[in-house]
Amino acid sequence: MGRPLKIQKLGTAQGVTYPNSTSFNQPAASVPVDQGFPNFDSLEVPVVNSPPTLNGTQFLGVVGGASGATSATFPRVKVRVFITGFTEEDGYILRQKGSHKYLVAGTTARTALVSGSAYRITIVGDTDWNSYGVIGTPAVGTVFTATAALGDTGTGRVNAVGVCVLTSDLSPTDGLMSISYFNTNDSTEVAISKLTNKWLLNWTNFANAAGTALTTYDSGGDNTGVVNYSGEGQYVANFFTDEGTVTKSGSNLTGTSIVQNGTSELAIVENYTS
Amino acid sequence: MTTAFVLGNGESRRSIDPAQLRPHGPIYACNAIYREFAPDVLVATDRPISMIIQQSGYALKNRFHTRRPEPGTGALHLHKPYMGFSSGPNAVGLACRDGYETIYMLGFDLGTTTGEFNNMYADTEFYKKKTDPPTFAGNWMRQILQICQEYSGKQFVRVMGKQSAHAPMLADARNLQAMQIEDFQALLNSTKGVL
Repeated sequence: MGRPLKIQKLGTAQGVTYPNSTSFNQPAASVPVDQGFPNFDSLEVPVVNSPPTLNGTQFLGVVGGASGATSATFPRVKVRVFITGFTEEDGYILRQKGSHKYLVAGTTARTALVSGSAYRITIVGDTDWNSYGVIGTPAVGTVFTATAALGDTGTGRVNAVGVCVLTSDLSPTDGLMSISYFNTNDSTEVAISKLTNKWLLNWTNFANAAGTALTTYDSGGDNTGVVNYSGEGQYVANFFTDEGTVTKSGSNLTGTSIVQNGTSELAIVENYTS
Repeated sequence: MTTAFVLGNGESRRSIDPAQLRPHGPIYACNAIYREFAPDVLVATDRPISMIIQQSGYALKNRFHTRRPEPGTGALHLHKPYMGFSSGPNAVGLACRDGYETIYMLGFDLGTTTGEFNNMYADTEFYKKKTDPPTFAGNWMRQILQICQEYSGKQFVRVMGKQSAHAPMLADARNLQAMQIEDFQALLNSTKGVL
């Protein structure tokens, strides 16, 4: 069900180069990559949002990432993480490693390095990153594993990085992470058991062969031993509204009225807008 | 410890002055009530209003719970397993956790009788318009039912007014009873000290 999560990036020097009056083949401007989906203004029937809770500039689907291109128009997924070796904190998704497992970073600006832990540079500053595991030119976004401890990074800053597996616990423990959604505008926060670029599932009826409810995936991030997916809540993920529905793929319509196969509810995924 | 009051923000509690409750027990309440009254415990789960409350300094002087407190604001965590619940049910859960045996729930209208959004703070910042459709109440009912069942030794009283919706799901809670707001007012007027 669904494709892997897109990752929002700001691609520098993307696209064609162009000449101008003072230089030749000057790099093109930075281009946002995978930060959104076709918005409703660009869609045609049969995608119907009823009642119309999404406006023309908004879209279905969600993206992860750590891009500076994040905005209220193009948000990105917000997660709660407990990276091994650190503590629980807000975080963001760097890469999808499996259907229920992600490479994530915390948002805490860190000023020290622990040897063997992984980090992502958020401010290059005056830190001699190459002495602590960075290969090549350090830059914002560089992910590295510290090869030595450093008590004070000076003006440089990093976020902790690690692989976490989804759990139903909104306050995850060591090695786990949660992604939240809302779907009835009643402020109830619910954990996601699987997130794709368009769909999300919750943990309803998620059980093993003995019928025991499961609340997390195993450390590999797969679903070994899980036999009962039936009845799971499934929603269309988006960043803008937790009210209304959209037509399911394959629905039969007369004009904009659904005549067969029904609709799916919308759910808003917790997100950053800056 | 005996009685606590938990205030939702449904229109049915408009006739009750929260200060009137204070001699009778501690008051747990939610969200925008802090603009006009400081309860003993305030809960807000929606991030935007929670952030405003924390930024206002309210939590430095008053007990305030939210899902993810901002460091240095004085705000406290909500507790598992109710952390994901909405504000009202979380406030009920906190009153139970704090040890109160009888919990009166006022302004828990759980829907609408008019087809419109039922909240005392409609048309104000962070809230929908009065004429908007009502908020889905199914999760609130399910969450309150779960708390009633998990605290089966406690008594819950839902104080209802003419704006309170019928909540058939709550019939499964054997330790929850309904009381009309006029009867509650009479009880309050005839009682000195803790209810």
